[in-house]
Amino acid sequence: MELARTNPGVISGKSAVPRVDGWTAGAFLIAGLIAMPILAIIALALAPSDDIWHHLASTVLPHYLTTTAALAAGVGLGTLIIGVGTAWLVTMFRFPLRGVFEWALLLPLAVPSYVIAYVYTDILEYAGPLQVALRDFFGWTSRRDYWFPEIRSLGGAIAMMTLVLYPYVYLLARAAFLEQSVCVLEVSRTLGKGPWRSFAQVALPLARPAIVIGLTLVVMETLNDFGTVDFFAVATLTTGIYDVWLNMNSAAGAAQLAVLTLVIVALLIAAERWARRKQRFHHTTPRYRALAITPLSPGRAALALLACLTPVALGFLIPAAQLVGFALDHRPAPGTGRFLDLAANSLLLASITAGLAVVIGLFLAYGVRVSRSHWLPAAIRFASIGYAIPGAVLAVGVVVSLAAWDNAVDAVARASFGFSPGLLLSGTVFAMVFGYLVRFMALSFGAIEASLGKVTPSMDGAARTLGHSPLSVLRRIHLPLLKGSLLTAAILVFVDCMKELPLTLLLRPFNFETLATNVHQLASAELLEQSAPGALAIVAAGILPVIALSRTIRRSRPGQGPLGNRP
Amino acid sequence: MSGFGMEGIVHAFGSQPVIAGASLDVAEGELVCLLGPSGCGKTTLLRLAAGLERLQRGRVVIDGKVVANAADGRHVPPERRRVGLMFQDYALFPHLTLAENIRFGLGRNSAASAFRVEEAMARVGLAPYAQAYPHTLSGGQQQRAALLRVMAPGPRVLLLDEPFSDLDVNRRVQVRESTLDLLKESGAATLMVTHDPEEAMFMADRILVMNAGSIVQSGTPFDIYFHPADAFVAELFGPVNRLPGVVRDRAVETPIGRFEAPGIAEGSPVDVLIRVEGLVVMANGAADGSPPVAARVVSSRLLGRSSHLGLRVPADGGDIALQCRVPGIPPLGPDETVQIKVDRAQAFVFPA
Amino acid sequence: MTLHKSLRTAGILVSAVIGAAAFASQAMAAGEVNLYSFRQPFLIEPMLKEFTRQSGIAVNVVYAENGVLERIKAEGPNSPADIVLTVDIGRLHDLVEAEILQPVKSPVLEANIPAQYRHPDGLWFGLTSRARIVFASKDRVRADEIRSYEDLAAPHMKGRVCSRSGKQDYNISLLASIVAHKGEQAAREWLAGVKANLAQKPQGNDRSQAKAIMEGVCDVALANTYYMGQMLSDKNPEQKDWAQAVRIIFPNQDERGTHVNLSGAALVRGAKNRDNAIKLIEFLSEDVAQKLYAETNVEYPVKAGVALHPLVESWGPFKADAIELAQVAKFRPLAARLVDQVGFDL
Repeated sequence: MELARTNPGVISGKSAVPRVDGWTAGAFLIAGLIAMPILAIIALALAPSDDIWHHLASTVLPHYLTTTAALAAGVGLGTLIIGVGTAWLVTMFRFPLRGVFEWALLLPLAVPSYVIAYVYTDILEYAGPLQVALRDFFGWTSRRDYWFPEIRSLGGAIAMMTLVLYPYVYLLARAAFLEQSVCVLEVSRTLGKGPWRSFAQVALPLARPAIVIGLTLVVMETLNDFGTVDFFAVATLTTGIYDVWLNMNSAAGAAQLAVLTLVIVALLIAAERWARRKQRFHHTTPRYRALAITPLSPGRAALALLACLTPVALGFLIPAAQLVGFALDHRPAPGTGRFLDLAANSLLLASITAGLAVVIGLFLAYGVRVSRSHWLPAAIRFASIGYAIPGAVLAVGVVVSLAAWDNAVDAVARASFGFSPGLLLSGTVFAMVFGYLVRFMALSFGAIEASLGKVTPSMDGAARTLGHSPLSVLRRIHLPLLKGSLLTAAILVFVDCMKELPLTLLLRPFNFETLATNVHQLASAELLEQSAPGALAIVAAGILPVIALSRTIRRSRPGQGPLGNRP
Repeated sequence: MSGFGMEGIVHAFGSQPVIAGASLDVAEGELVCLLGPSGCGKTTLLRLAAGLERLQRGRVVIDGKVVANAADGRHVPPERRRVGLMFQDYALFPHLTLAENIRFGLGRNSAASAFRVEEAMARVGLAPYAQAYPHTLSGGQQQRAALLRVMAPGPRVLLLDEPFSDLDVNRRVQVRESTLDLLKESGAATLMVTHDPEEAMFMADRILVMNAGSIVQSGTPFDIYFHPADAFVAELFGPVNRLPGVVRDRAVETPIGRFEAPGIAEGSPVDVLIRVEGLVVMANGAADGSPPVAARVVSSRLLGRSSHLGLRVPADGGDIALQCRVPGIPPLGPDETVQIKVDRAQAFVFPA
Repeated sequence: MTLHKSLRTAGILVSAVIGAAAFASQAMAAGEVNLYSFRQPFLIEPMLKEFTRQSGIAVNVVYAENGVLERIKAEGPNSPADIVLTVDIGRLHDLVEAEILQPVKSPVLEANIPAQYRHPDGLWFGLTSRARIVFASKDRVRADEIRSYEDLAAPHMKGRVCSRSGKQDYNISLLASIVAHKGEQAAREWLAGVKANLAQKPQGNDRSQAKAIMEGVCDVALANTYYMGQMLSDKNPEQKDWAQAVRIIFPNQDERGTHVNLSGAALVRGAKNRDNAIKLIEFLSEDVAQKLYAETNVEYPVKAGVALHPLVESWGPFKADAIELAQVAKFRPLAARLVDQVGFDL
């Protein structure tokens, strides 16, 4: 490595001559805007307030912490096992329906966790079909005759969240496995390790950074979830935040708890980075050979099939079938007269947000690449931590910061032009999109930043010296190479926006409904069945993008071009 | 003037100086090698020439036109310089086929260019891989593809950054020759960066030796090898025997003989550098000219085409250790005594 | 799809969004009234439609729960909100505490709404009430076993009580009323007693309490009146079964009365459509709207003389706790702490 390479310029070269770097400034500006709601929450936490800590510490805080830790650990472990295990199976082995599972394993991503919780409660509770069938079969007459696991419990919450969140781990683990050169696995085999030990000692550690990103997303989603834990009466830090906020009437105390959650998340991430600080995960060989797909014996193939079918069935097929059943029974639900409008609102919002998130993520990722500022990556990471904040709390952060902006603009306008424009951004679609961007920046920036590393600085240089302008380089080299991850980012944001609830509820304009708010208003009135069409529409809207996502990942494998060796 | 030149280049990354005043020129059709150890600023010089870095001081001239000038801020962007730059890692685009990669620098226009690409690929044996993706090819194939890609637009100036370093040794020799043919044919002014002196000797019409951001010597391979400007240049070509001494009567006396030290002040300390191949073992003590010196063999190893001898020569302050390289099988075993003499063309005296 | 195309599209969409935002913010014209509602829109739609039909005033609604108060506070004098509709006395109290309401002096409201159900200074007005009653198994609970909330904590109910989360608004409100009547210590002891009697960890919603009773998990549970009506009129036959497994008991009829909670309306301090807003609140307190509330939501209208839902009518009159609800609301934070201290939900 020569010096020039340690300091790669991307589009404009870098030099010691200080120049005004518009890109860095722009990236800081955007990161700052996106961080505003988080800063607002921190400001709220620092505001003078009643001391809730003494009360919490002496009563429920230890319980909140242990439940939250158990929930996060349980969901983390569950998603790790399912996500990594299935990713390894579909990447390395041949068994029936493998090609279908490649994409089908992602389907639960489209199911909101609050919906799956409702659905399974309905199926598994005492009066549900399963227990009824068991009672009929065994001749039991009441609950006291037998034991059945309680779905509304910590275990139930872990199971529900695992089922809908494991696709994040699957997604990233699979992409990482596909990127690994088979050479490193073969080296391991020749060094006397069996296929399983090669997996555990080579493939898994190599995929670790990707898996950790997936797990981080999972844990952040787990921590920000309120719907499921509330419904299952599991007292976590998040339910505590709501309680302190709404029942003890201490928004500041709630913000303090939220900041505590953020600190825990930040520490976890830092600890993981520290633990692998000395390892490098670059591929040491530039040459790839197609992974040899190992055929399995019939018995093992059946096991592999079962291992992949179970999460898909539990996380998608069963809930979807149940929703279809509900929807057929309850077509004319109240408030669904404008059902197409709701769907259009949801789709439009999710699409706009996904597009913007990609553009902004791309801009920030380039900012990090071009900029010499060490503060920029830190600023962006801070701005993308909104993903770990419970939605309603983040919503308040967004409301507070946008209203502050609006009122400032209003004051200036009144002082200088003598008229009041009122609140320009608050309570508009813009506010919603902004809120979504704040919430989902972690998804889009993370996905894009990771893949930008694949475009080496010398590729830029080669393209430039071959007569292509910076714009042309972007178009002909970067975008084709980043296409997969841009699409991944867009789809993750899209699917998450479709499901998003607390921000949508609080930030929307008057008379504006989406599928998610429709589902919520019916479900919160305890009209579960009538919320099914909306829930089903959310799930359906997620299916096609999720399938597209799987195809993208498959193509991301080096050698999967038109003439590459397709397994 | 056709060809290309860089004048008075000074460059730093932050507070770290990289190039401390370098000037060079390469004539049309000439192949100049920039030789130096890793981190001496060679690659930066190439990037400056290509326009990938902005000049901080100095100017770059291509075909008589100033394309970059730090003084007036002129900076023709890389895509308009007609400079081809081949990267050490080849930087082939993974999402494009070989043919698409090679055609990347050509305008969309002519069918003629497509024809030329196919012809060129056929010539270097890449025709069967036109539709393959880069990562499916061997290193040698990737290297040729990268070279073709650089040359396809017919650049006036070619810059090659360690073009053979990713190849294994045998492959390298073979690829060098075919590359040299292609380069010579193109008639472009070529500047090639390498840290391998043998490679530089093989390829170059002229060698520029670079050290710590400065060009320390420029000359033909012969000049550089037989008239190194300093100890650094002399040592580039492999291990040397270093004998310290002091200049007396315009010469320096060593245990193995007296060496002229023209132009070095009387009484100043110097080093006599003798290449390992510059020590000649005399068959049966036969002398010609300068008197031979007796040496005891300490070790002898066969290296293949040549052998390596470790020697000891008695001197006032104790024995001095010498090493030398002789063709063929080692003539002697340990503890035997031989007569050696110095090939004066391979011995140099530099101020210490 | 090529990416640069989609990027270009995204660019156009950005402009469109900002344009739409500007447009939306100017849409506040005359002849409107803007609601921030804690209540699901489909439950108030009939009343609002009727109001618009009669008055020609358009009603705009944002339905949200958590954060509405913070939103109004943050928006400040520029807030577009005119009225807040809530479904719980606690929320009304929070709005008062946050000082974002303005008093309304209206003879119509004062005539229609009993003093107990409105703020002394006219900062909020109750529109409907619901009683916190006991669902009891028709088969397994004798009439004399549960006569009061206090009986839920009595030793003979050991292992027979179900509850949703103690932190749920209606339970907090009930507990706050007990604090108001009997003091903190008595309330804590009562809550601990109920906890000791629980058949399972607090969970689910009001309907699932009925379900649990039907399933034999427990014999009694606390619930709001209107859920009974909603379950009985639900299209799902299952829910009718749940409802039919239980009978309802109005507790404490011989003494202070059954705890009631309110849904209500309040006028926002900076309301731009103040006159329209008062018109709407008045309309909601009048016979037409009160009757619709009674019919669609199976709640008790606050206005005397309005016909009840037949089902509600069939339960007969009951004695409601007459304590001023503003007093009860003050004890809500304390009640929430008591729930933590007793470890009710754990």
